[in-house]
Amino acid sequence: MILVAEISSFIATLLMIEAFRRLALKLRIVATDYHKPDRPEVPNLAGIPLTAGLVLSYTLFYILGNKVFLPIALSTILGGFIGLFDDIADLPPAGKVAFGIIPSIPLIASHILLPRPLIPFIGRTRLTLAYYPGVMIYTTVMINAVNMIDSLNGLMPGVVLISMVSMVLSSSITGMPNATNIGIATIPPLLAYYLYNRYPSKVFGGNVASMAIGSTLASLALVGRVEVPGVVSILPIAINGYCILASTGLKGRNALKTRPVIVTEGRLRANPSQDATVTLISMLCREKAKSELTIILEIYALMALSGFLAIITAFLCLG
Amino acid sequence: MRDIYPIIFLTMAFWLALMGDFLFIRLFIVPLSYNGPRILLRITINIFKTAVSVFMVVLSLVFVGKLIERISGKKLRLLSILLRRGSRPS
Repeated sequence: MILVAEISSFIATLLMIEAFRRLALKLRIVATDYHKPDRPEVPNLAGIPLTAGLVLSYTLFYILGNKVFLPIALSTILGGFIGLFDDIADLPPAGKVAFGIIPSIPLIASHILLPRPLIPFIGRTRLTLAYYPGVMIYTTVMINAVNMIDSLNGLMPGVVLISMVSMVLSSSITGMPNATNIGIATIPPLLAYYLYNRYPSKVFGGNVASMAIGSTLASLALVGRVEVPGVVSILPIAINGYCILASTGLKGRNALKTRPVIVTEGRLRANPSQDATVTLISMLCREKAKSELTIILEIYALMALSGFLAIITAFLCLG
Repeated sequence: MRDIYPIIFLTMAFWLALMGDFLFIRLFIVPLSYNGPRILLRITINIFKTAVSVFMVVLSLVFVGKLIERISGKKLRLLSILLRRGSRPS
């Protein structure tokens, strides 16, 4: 039955994205791909069918008897709505951080979280009161980290897929079955989206996609009880978010006059200006100009490294 | 490809800093405990433990930030404010 649910959610997401792509082209819901030499217009906001696909998958798994999927589905929907609101109203960075707390509410309110995280060298801890504010911070960090990396074709779904696989493997080491179930339910719709978003992109997800997926990733780490390996598995994108926040403050990268990278004939090069925002991408093309695909593959390699470190962290959590 | 090596180093350094924090907490913070009748003392010790743990994490972030400054060749505004070295040059 699980296999049927997986295949159904994968096919349903593919069909929804294809239908949305055609509709978006007709209604001119498009965004310019600035990293290509001919700057093509690509259908945008495909995060809407992706969120629908994720919710469908979680509903199927909920019907199959796993009760944790209801709050996760709610959290994903809330993340998607915040992203859609951001796409329409262009939230300031401080607003994104504040709104990023909201998807944690269904997880806290449903009492599916246990305030006893596993921490390396320390083992099982009992945090009680400190845990729930920590969950809110954790969720907003995950959502904003995923949102900030969504700047090249297929980068966001690719890094999230790698991170999810390492979290599932970490949970199998620590003996927590929920992360595996959530991973199994999330990967098919995400894979369907990846097929459309990968280089060269046929669709863009918009903030809807990145924030819905960020909520899902936070849910996987929290419900699956792999909080610390979860953070380790996203270290490169956490570094990217930290770079952006530390170099711009809460003004945000969009408020700056100078962009982090300069695009010349389809190749990306770090902006040498001292005022330019520091990002992971700009650090990867600091010495010489690189193609978009090369940078994407290098970030995937970094994610694989951090995934490996997450698995080592899971072993250290056993005490 | 040469640009990726400093980022690999940065990722490893960030991970080692995090693990170092946890090891420090395990060795020096976790053993600090008081289960006696003085509630105020118990609360003070818990607040102290939390404050030291948060300070350790902030220290790691400053360390990683300094590495990012070295790799990118640019000043990070947040670090300049945090370390009170004035605003970054324009």
